[in-house]
Amino acid sequence: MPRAECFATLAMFFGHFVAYLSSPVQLSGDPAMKIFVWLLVLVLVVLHQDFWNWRDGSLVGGILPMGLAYHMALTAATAVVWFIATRCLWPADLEPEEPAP
Amino acid sequence: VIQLAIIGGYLVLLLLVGAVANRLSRGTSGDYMLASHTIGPVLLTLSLFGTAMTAFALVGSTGESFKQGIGVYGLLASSSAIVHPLCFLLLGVKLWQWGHRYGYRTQVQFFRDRLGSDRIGLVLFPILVGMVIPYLLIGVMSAGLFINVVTRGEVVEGQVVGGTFTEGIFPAFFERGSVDPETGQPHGFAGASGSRGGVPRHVASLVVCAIVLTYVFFGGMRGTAWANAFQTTVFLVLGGIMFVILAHRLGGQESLLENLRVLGNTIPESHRSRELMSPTRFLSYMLIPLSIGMFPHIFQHWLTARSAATFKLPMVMHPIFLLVLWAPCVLLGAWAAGVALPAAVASHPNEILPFLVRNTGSEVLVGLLTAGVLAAIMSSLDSQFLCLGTMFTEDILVHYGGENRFSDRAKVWIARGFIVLIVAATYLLSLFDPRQVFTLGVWCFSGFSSLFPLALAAVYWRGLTKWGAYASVLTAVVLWFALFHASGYARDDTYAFQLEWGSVSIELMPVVPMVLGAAVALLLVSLATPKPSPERLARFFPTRR
Repeated sequence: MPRAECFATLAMFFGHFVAYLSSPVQLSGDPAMKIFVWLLVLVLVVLHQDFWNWRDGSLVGGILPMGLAYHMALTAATAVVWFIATRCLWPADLEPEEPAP
Repeated sequence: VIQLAIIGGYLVLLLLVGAVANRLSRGTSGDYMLASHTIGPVLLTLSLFGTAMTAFALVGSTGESFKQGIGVYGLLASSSAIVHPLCFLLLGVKLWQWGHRYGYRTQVQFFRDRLGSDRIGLVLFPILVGMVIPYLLIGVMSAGLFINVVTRGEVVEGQVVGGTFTEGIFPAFFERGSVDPETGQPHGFAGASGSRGGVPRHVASLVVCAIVLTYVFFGGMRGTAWANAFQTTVFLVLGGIMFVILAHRLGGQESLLENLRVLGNTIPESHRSRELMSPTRFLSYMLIPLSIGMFPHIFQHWLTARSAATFKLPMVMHPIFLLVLWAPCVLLGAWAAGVALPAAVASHPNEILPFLVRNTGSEVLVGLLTAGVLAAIMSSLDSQFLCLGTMFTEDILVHYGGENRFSDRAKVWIARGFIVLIVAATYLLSLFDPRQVFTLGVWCFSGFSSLFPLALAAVYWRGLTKWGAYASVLTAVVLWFALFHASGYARDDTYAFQLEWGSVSIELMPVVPMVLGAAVALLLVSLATPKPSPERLARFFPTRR
């Protein structure tokens, strides 16, 4: 059942991904790295204002209008930047959890 | 009938989710309102996304794309992909930490404690509740409208053809629709707002309210989170299926790729680009998603997280979910702009998606896709109902009645009582058919965005004073009313704030002066008024060495 195997592999990959994200490991607490990631977020904001695509009505691959394809790619890039942020920008002062009073 | 059975089956499934959550409940108020801080990353990701997405994500995005073209995706989806996770990181994690440490259940409790001001609660409470109610009305009315559109027939020479029900099945009040302001008479069974052989809008809204009320009443936050996760999965999966089937139906080719190519070429030139949009308006729209930072129901979901690390998965997956949900809907709207549609449908963009779905001719599909749209709507309604019930209980009754006056079990029942009252009040308000409420939605979002500077300063700025907070909130309220008045109380849905610069006129969304005004007032008044006590600051900020 290749399709079932495919889903099982995807589920396993997602499970590992969730576990990796939830682990306390941080790539870097380096201030320079933090500045770099914040700059990446700023770049996303700038790239969002794509005035150069404003009147471009061409179709990418004959399917997607340029403006839509660009913003879909930007959304995917945003997910990558936020992934990096979870490794490099995570607050360091989060104390171990205690139950709420 | 088949489609109604599928919708009914879906609603029963939701009731089962609420029933299971009720059986697993610990019976405490902390469990009822915050699921005892036990929600893990996957559940938090799905419930946050489901709560943040309303009917607008499916029905509205298709309609707006039909009107304005593909730029709608950048206007709301890719901007939210940047701003929402930013709010989770900057606000969510810190507020979770403090909420966990000091036992907050509502935003008002946090601001009262952080600012050392009891009265800030009296200022914030009516504003937050007042802005959530139109948001609730949008959900209740959209659900009713969607079910009606997919079950009703066509009007041919004044007669309804192909409807699910004949005239007289439901009470006349529901079938006749709203009163025409010109004639003073209801539109009638086959009229513009009549039921036209479908489930009448107000009956469908009543059923949806009853279902949401039942699972929130019994399941509390645990039931709400589970139901949201289930509903998010449903609308993401069914959204994908809908896209493929509609592409096949509209394109008429064999393969999906061929259909996409054919349909891509049918999109009118004006809708392929953003020539129908103002670039400065597009830029200023980026402030609207900041509203998520002050939504009281999102605040409550943040507090349910098991740990701070739980927030990492929502940060990464939120943009991906936005992409998966919005891109197909926007593309469908753009395709529809290139297809000949009946004038009655084309003049009501919110009816484009239900119309396309109904035209597939498959009752099973119509039922499944209606379930998907209802999932998007109800996954926001439930959190908002629970949140308002929690706020009335904690911020008013327990706060002013005395913490020790009510047992923990009594608090759960008080919250349930308030939830019943809020659902009833929302439903009754929806009967008045306030159509303006759809335009009011963007105004509500702008109002929440204008409170964002206060949330940000409360979390990061030691210099924020209670007077600065009052000034910020009052400035936001005054600017909101002034601009709302200027827009003809939302009658002009294209209203923009005009900034004149010599001969250049820049068009901005009203949210820009509101956010800037609130931020400047906060800053100036905080700098000029006495700082909070060192003891209070020490509760929230680590001591400087």
